[in-house]
Amino acid sequence: MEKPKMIYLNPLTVRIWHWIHATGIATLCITGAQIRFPEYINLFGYRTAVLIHDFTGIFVCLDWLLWFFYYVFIDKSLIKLYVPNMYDLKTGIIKQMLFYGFNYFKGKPNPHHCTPDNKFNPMQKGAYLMIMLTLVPIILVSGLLLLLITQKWMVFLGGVKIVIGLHFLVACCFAAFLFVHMYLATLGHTFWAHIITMITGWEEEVEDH
Amino acid sequence: MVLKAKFLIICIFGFMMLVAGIGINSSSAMETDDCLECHGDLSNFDEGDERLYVDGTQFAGTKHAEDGCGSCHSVTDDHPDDGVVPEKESCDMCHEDTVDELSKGLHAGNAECTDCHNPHADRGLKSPGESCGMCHEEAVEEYLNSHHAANAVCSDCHSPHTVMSYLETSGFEKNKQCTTCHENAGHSEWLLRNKLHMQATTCISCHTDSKGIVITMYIEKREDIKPDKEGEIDLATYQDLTQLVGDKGVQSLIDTNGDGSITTAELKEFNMNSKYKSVGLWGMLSTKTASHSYGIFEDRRDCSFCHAAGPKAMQTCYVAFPNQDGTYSRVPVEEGAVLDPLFATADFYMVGSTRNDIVSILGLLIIAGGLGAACLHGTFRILTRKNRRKH
Repeated sequence: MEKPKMIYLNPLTVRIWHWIHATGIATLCITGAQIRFPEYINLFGYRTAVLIHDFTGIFVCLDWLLWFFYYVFIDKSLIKLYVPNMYDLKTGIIKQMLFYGFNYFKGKPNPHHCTPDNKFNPMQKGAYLMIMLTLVPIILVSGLLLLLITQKWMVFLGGVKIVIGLHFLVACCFAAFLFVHMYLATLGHTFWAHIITMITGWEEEVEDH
Repeated sequence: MVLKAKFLIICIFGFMMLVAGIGINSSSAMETDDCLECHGDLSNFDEGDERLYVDGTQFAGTKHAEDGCGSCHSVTDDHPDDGVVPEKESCDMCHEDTVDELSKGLHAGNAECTDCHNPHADRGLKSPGESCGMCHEEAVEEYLNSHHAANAVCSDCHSPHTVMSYLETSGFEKNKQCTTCHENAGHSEWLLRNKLHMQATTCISCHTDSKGIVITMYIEKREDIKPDKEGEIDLATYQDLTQLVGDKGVQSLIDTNGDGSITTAELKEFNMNSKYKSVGLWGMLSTKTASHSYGIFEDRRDCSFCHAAGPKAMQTCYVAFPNQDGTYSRVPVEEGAVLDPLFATADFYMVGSTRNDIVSILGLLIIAGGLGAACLHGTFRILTRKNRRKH
């Protein structure tokens, strides 16, 4: 039997970053839910939930900085990997949407082929760009404001309620993203293919996916 | 001739002074020792008249003893045979400012000096049970049963002369009474965001078993707010607010229609009005009732005691306006105003409890959208799995 061709998609730094981020966001979502709805959710005790939320928030902040510096200054591939190019915008996104919406069910192949230089399909590029450069900074900055500074600071931003409302709604976007992301991770050529890639770094190159 | 006239005037004046002197003497002729001869012996008084007894030894140690009985009680040499009931003591002859203060407070007409003070005893403040407890029986009984009673009497926290009611006093003023003794009670060893909690809660909310949550919004000055980490709350005075609204009355700052209550719309209008940028609302949590059962309640260390109270417990809110005399008048705010998502009480948010339901629903819909999309796609994925096997 011919050995499948393997490509090295995710270097160790990226994998470490990814799993810290994944567990961090999941922890923040769970503790955040308890902090907002304490009369319905009580997993740790309120004080513990706040402490875990604070600590994890700082950790995810640092992890985001690791991601940013790695892709901008070390790998220098932020724009190449995350910013959709003209092809992506004109036809790539539509093809990818058609694939997920219809062609996948018909059994047609994925129009996007992963390579180390082109890891993300056009839809992923748009989503990740939005998440990593807009939503993550918003939630981290609002979280830091709520963590470190008294309500007086919020006066300059229109009040603490704007900050807290924004923080909560963006957090909900992350929770929604988690479900979609986890589901899409199972859409590789096998159920575990993409998940194994994010653990080992290697992905089996398959023609029709 | 002129000399004779002057001499005559001096003689008349001298005579008048002599007569006046005799008059004064005649009304307070008795010396303290004379008084104590009778009043210092309890057996001289029938049952019910014990109040007329004065402990001579105790009285001798008082400052009042230097002035003598006659300085407060006017009697004649024939007392008690003259049948004249001596006039009541008049503290204002010496303690004019204090009596004046008392006459302006809540106690005026309700309590006299001697209800709380025993002028015949050294440090003559009566015990809580004998003074405040005569009227405030329930509160004193509650207080005497608390651990606090061993360390402070009523007047250590309440000023009995400039009496202000619970509602007329700001939360900050209430807390000041506590920090007089408990100055280092920052709670930093266990309470997260402890300084913020101290600024947004009254001590008695946690350290008594007072019931019900009330949020009182105070108007603070914001001209000097710098984006520093910590800041003190600088409450606007009556004069500060008068400068903003002129002679319309300070309440018109927010209660624009003057109906004695504040709607959510009026709060928003105030918060959005650039004319009032120099002031803002600072919310403080207190309780509906004020109990005197001081102590440390372990359940208050559980943050969920307040934070899991839920939005339903956060309905009652007031705006406290400063009065000219330093007291505060509370104006009720429309129920649930503190739950407004944005501008009604833009700077008051109690995590967990003052969440806005619409924002919560919107957030949950976003999550449901993500979960639903995954579930929907997964369902079609299962239904169409045969198609993919073919390829």
